[in-house]
Amino acid sequence: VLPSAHLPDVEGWRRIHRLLGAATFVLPLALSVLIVREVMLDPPPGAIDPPTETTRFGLNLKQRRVIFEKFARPERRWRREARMEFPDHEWSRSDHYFKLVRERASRLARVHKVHYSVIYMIYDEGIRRRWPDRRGAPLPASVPPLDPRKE
Amino acid sequence: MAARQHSVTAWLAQIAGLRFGMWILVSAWFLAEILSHPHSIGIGHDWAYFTHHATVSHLSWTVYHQVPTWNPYFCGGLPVPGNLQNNTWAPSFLFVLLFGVLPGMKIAFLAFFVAGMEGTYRYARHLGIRGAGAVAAALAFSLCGRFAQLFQDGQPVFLTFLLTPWALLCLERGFRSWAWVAAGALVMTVVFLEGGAVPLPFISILMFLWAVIHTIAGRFDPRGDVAWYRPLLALASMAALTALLSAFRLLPVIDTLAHNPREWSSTDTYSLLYILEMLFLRSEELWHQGVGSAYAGVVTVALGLVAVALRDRRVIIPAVCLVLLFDWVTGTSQFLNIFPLIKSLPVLGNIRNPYRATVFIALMLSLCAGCGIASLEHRLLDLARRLGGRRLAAGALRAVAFAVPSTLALLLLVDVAGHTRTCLDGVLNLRSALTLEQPFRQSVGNRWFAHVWPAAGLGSLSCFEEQAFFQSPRLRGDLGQEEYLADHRAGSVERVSWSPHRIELDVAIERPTTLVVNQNHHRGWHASAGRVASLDGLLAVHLPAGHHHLVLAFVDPLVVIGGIVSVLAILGLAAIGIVRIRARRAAAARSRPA
Repeated sequence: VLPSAHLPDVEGWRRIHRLLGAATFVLPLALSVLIVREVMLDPPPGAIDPPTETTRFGLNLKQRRVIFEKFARPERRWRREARMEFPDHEWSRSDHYFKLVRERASRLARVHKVHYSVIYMIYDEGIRRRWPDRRGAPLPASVPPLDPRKE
Repeated sequence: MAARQHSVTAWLAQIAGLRFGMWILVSAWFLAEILSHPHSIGIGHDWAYFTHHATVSHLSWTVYHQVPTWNPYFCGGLPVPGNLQNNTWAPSFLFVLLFGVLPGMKIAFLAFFVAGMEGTYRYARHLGIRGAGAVAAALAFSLCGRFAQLFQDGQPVFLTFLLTPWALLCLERGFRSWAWVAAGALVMTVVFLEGGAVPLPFISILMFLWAVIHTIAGRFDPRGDVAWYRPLLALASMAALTALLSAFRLLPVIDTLAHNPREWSSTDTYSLLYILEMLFLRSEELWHQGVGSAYAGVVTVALGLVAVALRDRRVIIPAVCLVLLFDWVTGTSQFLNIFPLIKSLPVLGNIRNPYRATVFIALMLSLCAGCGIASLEHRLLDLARRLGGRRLAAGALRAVAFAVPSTLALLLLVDVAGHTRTCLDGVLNLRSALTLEQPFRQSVGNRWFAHVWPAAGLGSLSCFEEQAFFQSPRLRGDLGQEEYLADHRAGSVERVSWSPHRIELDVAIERPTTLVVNQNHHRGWHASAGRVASLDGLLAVHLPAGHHHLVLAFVDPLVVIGGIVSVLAILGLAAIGIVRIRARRAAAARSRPA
């Protein structure tokens, strides 16, 4: 623990040396405890509000429908944009579409002052309940199989 | 080496408690932004991706009390050990289990930095660099640009590169000792388990180059006491032992790579000038191939040149390696064509992004810089020794021999970390996902925010993996029931319980039919009744008529076989270790005077 090659060969010295060596380990131990304690002090973000008689995710049906409609509004434009970006690769088209969905979700979370998890839960609810988009059709509930680009 | 006993910096650096204290302090300072946001991630896709995988495995261990081998939350179901990117089985995952997903990941990052600094220090000591030189090398390498940039990109798997010095140390010591070969195999097993498609092949290639360089260097070293074949034998033994120790992961990985290879057909080429810009220019541009993304510091180079000027022979091997590395990182355009050679090898055909090997350039430069500082200190101490008679002058020179290397080490730290640490400013700007307790079901999801779905008990069909894992085109994100009958008029299905690896169902059917589960089929699924099959890639069970309490359980036979091999390898290693220790003690007792 301590470099001892050049200490006098006396038992007393050796004992002090051992003690000092052990004592220095208090430093990393104390630092580790302090850091872990500091990290663990921060509370986790928590849970989405449980459903009540009139609400889900802390919002009533009307609010959720409004958010979903805003979500679904540019859907066809996004699909078109994705088609132009990746005309020959179906998975990439879908992936590009989901990238645009993410941007929209983050913006809607800011606008409606809710956590982005809530926005995604409404998105999922809308697809599951087949809420119509602007043209009256539900959003697709399946995706093309995984096929990552090779270049 | 004269005046060895006078080096105060060497004496201080050898005090393990002080040294570890310094590593922890510096790492905590460097990672302050990360540690002060324990429940946040970055906006980059990979943050969401790795958080998703960690969340799923955490759920599997802590909520369902199951060993995670199947991830039903992504792509409709993926194997866990067979996915190279997944680090569920890594030692660092213990922190996730102890402290929760995101805080655990952050504490694991800190542990990686401490391990990297200690490994570099020990390797530098092995090369004969001591005191401030070894400390400076440890800090310069561990805090270089590549280890800061990965936080922008959200790729914690690249922290495994911090174990490179440990791997080289074990390899070099393994030229003479089988115990170090075993230690090296343990290090490489950790590298493999920590995940990622890059660190294991890259570190393995570096070790191969290292072994070849040492084999050649050994031929020209008149004092060499190592047989010419020992470097390559040590490497081969290490590789074989690593394969045995990690068999529980290796077998599934081989299987998935064989069935769903990671394909990459593009060529990657970088000009030497661009690589130099990555390594030595400071830039605000924060992307993984950007200028300054591998910042290794100009002071590092200057100190390396000091070592050359002082004719320090210890820089020869790192310098030779630097030439090879510069050829490697430039890709396909340079004279030795190392990277195309690597790509022509059987398993490594789809390897990409050679620029990532700049992390090894940073290591070599750091070692050269450490040599520079250590040589300077040695010269000053030697001068002080010669002035032995003139006590005042010698004392003053010893003080200078303490102050100059320490200041240079500090200067190196300020130059490297002063810049790279700024890459971490504001990087964690996204609070983690909220949790929601609900029965598991698949959703369309979104792979760009992949961490959202498992936290809310949902699978995300939208997904991304480096390998094209099989995904059934018939998966749906809007089903009322995740388990249903192909012929819905044949009867009814009721879910009794659900967990990632075990689904219990009550099935009542009037005629033989097929039960379908909205997950991908995999050979690991077994059923308590009927016959498991694939229905357009979906998990399905052909059932006879009647009432069934059906249990579907996931047990991957390759993980089981591999697990047995790994356990036997660990037990074998432990037994050999115990026998050797006992033999050594007996020999010591025999040699003691009566």
